[in-house]
Amino acid sequence: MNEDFYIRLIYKKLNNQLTSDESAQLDAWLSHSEDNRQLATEIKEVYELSGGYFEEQINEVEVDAAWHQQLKVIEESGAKVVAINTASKRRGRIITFASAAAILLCLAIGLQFLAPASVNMIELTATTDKEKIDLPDGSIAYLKKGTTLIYPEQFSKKIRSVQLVGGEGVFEVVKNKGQFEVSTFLSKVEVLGTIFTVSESINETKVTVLEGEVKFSMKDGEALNLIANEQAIGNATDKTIAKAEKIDNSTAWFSNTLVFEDKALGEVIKDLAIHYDRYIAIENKMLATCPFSSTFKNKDLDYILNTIDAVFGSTSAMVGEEVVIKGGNCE
Amino acid sequence: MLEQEQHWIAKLKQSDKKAYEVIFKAYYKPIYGTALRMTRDAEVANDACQEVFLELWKNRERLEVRSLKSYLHRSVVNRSLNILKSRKRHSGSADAEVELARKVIDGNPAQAAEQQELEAIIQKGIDGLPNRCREVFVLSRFEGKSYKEIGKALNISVKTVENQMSKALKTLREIVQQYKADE
Repeated sequence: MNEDFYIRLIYKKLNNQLTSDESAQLDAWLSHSEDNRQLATEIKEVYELSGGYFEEQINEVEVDAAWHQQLKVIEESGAKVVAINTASKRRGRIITFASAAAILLCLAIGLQFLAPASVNMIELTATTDKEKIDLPDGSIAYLKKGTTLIYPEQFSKKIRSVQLVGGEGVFEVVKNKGQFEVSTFLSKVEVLGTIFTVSESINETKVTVLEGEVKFSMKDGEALNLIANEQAIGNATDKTIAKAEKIDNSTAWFSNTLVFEDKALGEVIKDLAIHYDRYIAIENKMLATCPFSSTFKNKDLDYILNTIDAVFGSTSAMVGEEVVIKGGNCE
Repeated sequence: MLEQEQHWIAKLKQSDKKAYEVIFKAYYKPIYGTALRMTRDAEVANDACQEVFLELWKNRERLEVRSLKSYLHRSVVNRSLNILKSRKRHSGSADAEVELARKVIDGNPAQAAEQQELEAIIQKGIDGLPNRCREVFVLSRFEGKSYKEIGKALNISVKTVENQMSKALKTLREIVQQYKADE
């Protein structure tokens, strides 16, 4: 047998993969000469030294940061599914998940309601976009399709509390009737009288204030006051709240207005894909970086695509289920 | 590795986000280790892990596994191999790899012979091995795969695995001995 064979046997022994036959063979070989034993020592050294391969980097990797990123990856993959019209099934699943969580929430919050006197809870799930719900105090909630709202038949005098489950809602709150608060699985938003939106997904809560002022707090986490035209995102993982630089188009389903300010076209089409539930692609990668500014109120997708084509000299066309923007440049 | 793994798997199948977080945090590091040792690129390794876990989340409802560790492990090894394959197409001939390995061997590190330095030398040595040779070595040394399993994963014969394994060990041994001789 040649040297290579015994090198592999030495290695196998170190790696605990040696059979008993091989073990006997190796022992015989080792007893044969000092050179053989020297070779074994050297291979052992290689084996031990190699154990540190990338060990330091592996130990230093930040698992929390990776988890954070994973939540984003999931969300992004979800957004894409929504855009290509297979949305209903996935959306359904997310809602199921949110509802499961909400049962716990309901129980917890329920106790609070039930304490003074027994109050009937109403649970409503919006079947259309912008479904309007008149709350007992005269405040109004507009829910995005699929969103569930749980609220009492009658509010208590001190506090008006509702629960939003997995989705988005806009709240127009009547003033001077005590504190109004919207709880989600992750967070709570308290207000005195204002218009604001709360949107909840599995990994974050987004609050946008259209009028007035609210206090936004993550359960067991940070809290932040927001005023009109401010938006903040609460993170489910570390319970932190980050204020957005400018309001995004996440409230477009309610206002039917899309606002773009120097936004890269690649980002613009993401908003369009979500708002119009269509898959949109840019063929020319350079074009995706071009900044685009415009405000569209009550416009359909064709109108917006025509505008984009006019600005950048591109051509939008349907390819199967997909809208593809071809050609064009930033000029 | 993860206590009450079956309990967490059952929860995951019900889309329990907490269970997913527990599983992710328990397995990310070892899975990342595998990807990093195979791809030698922190960013690429992380991307591979993110995709592997995303698949886990997407498939959670129809997940049928006895061991999450080996499931995730298999996924990340396959994904890393795919990454390496596509990378090979774009760059680096086998000759260039061999040349790199030779440079590592011929290199004359002037510093004192410390254990740490020897480790650094051998890390470079592993990096410098020809691709196939390094893949075989990493799969065996760190993933404890048998030659048969490695052959299957890389689509090569057991004989080739054996040859590559000997080659890796001999090259690394040479690097260490050369380094010591230069002292």
